Amino acid sequence: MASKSSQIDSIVDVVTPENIAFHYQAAGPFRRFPAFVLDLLIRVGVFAALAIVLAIFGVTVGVTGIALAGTLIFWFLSAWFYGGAFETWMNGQTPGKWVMGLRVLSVDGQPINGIQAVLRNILRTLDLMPIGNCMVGLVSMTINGSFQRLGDIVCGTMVVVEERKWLTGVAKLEDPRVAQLAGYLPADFVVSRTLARTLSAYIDRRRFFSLARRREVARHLAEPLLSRFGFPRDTSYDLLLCALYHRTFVAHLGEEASVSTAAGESPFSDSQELPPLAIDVTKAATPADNAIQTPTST
Amino acid sequence: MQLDNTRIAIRERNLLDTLDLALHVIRHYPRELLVTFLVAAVPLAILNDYLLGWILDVEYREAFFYLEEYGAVWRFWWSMTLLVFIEAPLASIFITAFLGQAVFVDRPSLRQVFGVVGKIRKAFPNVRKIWQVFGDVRRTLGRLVWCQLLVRGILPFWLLVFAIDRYDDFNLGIEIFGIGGLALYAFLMRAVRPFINEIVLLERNPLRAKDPTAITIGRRSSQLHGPSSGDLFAKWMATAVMGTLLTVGVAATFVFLSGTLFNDWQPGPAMIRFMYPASMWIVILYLSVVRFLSYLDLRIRHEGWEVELRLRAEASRQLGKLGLGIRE
Repeated sequence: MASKSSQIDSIVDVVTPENIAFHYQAAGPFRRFPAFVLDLLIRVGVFAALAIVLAIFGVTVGVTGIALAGTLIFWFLSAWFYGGAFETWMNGQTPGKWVMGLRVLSVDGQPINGIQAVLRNILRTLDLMPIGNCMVGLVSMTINGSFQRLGDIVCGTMVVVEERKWLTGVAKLEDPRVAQLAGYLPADFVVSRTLARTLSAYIDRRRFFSLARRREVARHLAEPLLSRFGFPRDTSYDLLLCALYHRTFVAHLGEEASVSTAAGESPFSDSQELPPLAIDVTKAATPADNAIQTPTST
Repeated sequence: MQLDNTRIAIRERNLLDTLDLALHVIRHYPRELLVTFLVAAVPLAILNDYLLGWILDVEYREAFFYLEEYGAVWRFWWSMTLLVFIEAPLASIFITAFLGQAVFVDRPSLRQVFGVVGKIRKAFPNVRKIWQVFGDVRRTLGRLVWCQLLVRGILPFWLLVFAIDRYDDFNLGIEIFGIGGLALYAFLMRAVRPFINEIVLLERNPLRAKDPTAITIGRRSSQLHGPSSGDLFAKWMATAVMGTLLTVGVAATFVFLSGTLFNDWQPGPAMIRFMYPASMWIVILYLSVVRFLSYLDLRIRHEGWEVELRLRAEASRQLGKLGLGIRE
């Protein structure tokens, strides 16, 4: 794959002052929007609750003016400092951002400081212009490759998505024919890095495909490989790629190829109903530890 | 062209990521997207103004029928909204054709999208040659006419709007039930079958085939949309809400600009006649890009398209090693 920076994507490269590079997914306006709404709802909710409590208190004690002033002061403070305070306290997150898995970082990958947090939130007013419809912020984020609004540009910050990616281990291929066929692969065939990645991607996704789709997808790569290995043309495409994957990622882990296959079952066939297929053993390299009987047609 | 080295990064995305990525795509191809969009949208906008602009024409209104200004504005707003909404897929055909190349080619050329126009210009005035050139695209054109103009109801909609009695203050049957019903039909069709442009223009399936196993547009559409129609409907609704908010936002910006530049804070009929459709067209440009990216996402999720591209690219490399050349 091309380096990520050359592709049109929301991934940005961040190089820390220690010269360590990270890839982050920059959060755009639409990814941020639910977090913004959530924070707004929290603010309004707390404000409403506080207003009710202060109103009851004011009426009961007879200090309605003070209660009203307290409510307005709270609204003023929450409007201007809610985001700044939380982002300082929660290391670049507000409750809304925390729920949505977002975090504010400095453009050099460092955590933001209090000044950055407060200033970028105060400058949100500018991004909400011209009349609270966020068009200035939207245009700014569209023009900017890291989806920075004006407040972010001024403060040297950006919002990134904090996603934990699950790293899948080596796939377990239950079919005994996979290991069997892997034994017939030429020993001198070197799996390149790109081929290994491709095989890994295929094996990772094949369980979501129907049998027909597997065949359709695997055909592209399996056909040239069949020619190269000199295997029969009707060898199962899916099985061949699984066998290559097995040899590349599994075989060296010490798992022995299973030989307990049913009589007459061919490692070259996708269907157990098919009769054993002929194989030109002179073309296919014999593995060193070949305990499998070469299936031959009768 | 290396299939696993795509210009637009191919991976699974949720709707919010897709909406964000569309902004990146617009940032990379502003001129190309604008040109490809305007080529389709400007004729449609002119047609729309011809079909509905008279509602806001004060002199015409006073001469032939009586309707308060706010009534005329509401009448125009309702009909124009539905008209632009129903025409949106037609306005995005060139954008779709362009983005189809932009996935793989670093700097796709507009000539590839409008190549047929250049060929026709060269062939002019030889009618026979023009017909030959036209023959190359007539199948695609025929499929578009069938799928968009007829099945998706654009042509009947135009005819209905054209049939509005211009000497009457309101046509309840046509203006509410007629075009409203057609718009609802188009709404439902597009919610569960949104990627018909991509199937016609990029996958180029035939409309009909004698071979029962051949993948026609209908079969391909069922195959692509069928397994995820519920998911598509939900995404489409969310996109429609976002589109509505954006349209309001863009229209409000026009009002703001009119107010600050011309001290006209009350948009009159003339302003509404041009600015409101313009706001909708701007948002449709953006949503056309979103729709294309959603199509890629659906193919990745359901068909493992990114895996297929990798395998095809790797196959090319393997064939290269075998000295067999690159397979198409």
